[in-house]
Amino acid sequence: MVDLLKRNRVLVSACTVLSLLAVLLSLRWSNPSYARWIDEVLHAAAYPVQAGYRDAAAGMAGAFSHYVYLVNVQAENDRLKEQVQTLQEDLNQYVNSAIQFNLLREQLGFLEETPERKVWAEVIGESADNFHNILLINKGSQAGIRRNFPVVLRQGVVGRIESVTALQSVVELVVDRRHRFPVLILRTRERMQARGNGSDVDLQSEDKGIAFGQGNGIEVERVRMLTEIEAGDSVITSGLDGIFPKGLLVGTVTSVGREKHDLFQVAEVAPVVDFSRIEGVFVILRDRRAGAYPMFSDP
Amino acid sequence: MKGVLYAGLALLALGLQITVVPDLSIWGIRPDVVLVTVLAVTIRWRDKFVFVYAAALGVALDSFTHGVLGVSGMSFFAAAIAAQLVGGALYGDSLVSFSTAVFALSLLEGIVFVVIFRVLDSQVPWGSWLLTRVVPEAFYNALIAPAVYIGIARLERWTPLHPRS
Repeated sequence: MVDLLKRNRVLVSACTVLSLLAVLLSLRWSNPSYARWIDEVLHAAAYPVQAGYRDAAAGMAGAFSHYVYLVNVQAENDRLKEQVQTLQEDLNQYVNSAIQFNLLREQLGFLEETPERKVWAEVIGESADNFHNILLINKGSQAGIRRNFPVVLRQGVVGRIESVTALQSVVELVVDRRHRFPVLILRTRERMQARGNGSDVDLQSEDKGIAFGQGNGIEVERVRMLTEIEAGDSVITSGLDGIFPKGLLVGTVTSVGREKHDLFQVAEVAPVVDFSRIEGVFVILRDRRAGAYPMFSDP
Repeated sequence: MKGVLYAGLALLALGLQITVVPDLSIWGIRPDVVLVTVLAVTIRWRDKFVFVYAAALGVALDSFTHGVLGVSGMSFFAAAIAAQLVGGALYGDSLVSFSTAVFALSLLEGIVFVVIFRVLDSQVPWGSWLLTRVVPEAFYNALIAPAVYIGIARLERWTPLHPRS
């Protein structure tokens, strides 16, 4: 038996690896809480590595640019160029500070004018593949953040907290296909179901609240045929999911699809938030005891 | 030495994927440096047990991208097995043949990835994912493949105890 295993050790190893992967995948259905625990452990282990990589990359970029500035510069020009460079950098820094100040002032206004308790978190990472739309932020459970807490900006809704560790959290953006939430059209207040942009949707399974996104935008589905909806209409959260407060701006309708034989219309919505330029976000700290639990089940 | 090389390459590839690759995004498509590294290692070093390495890196990538744990592990495993099976017959040491191989194997990996996702959830738009995600990514992977290949060839020169020596 041992000889047989030794002779076929490559095959045995391949089968073992395949079995382990299959077990890992099947755990998500057979034992979701255990799968989530494994997820959290691996994510917690990955966070410091990810943060370390990013810090190292930023440090290396700084060192490299400094080196490039100094090499091949003659002594006299060097001093003058350095002065110009310093002044330019100062100017850039002032301009950047002014821009950041204005941005933060805007967000501060939002913080003061809305009643919910919020925590400001900086974005420290983003998705590294083509299938998920996530952001990593530098605040976690120590700041009071929990799973499914809404993430917003002054402009509108950003996403929800997908997983949390002590010091960092993962935000699942609204354009991620896993994300689905009910919305209203601002003009008509017609209730609809929004989900991450994608095609072939099984409407019967929508109660699960599970959707996977393509990351390019938001598609609003299940709009009644009688509803008057057109490009330019605003879309806001309805608050029925128990995750987002009611009235947060989601985006603007860009096009509407309606076929005679269909029961519902479908609208493409351009998100109001530019996800590629987010530097920080607000996480709304909801009171779990007040019944702020999500209506849809967790993925 | 072999283990150190494999681990070093894995850390380097994962680091690049997290830090540099998001900035290389073209129309929302990013290359998969980790996959290209796995394929390069499989094709050049012809290690019998490289599929273990591929599966481990896939799971690590799943963890970093907060995807479903095991999906990339499975697809990387399949790509590594395919690269092993046809590697000896198909690939020479030329950059063009390596790029072509990376394109084909990335397509295979993407198809396996999407099929697994589709099996796990019937709502996945596999048709549009194949056209808008998998094919462009495979093309992008093929474009960066020569750089990875040259990098690994250089690494072999610096480390006389590499698996190919």
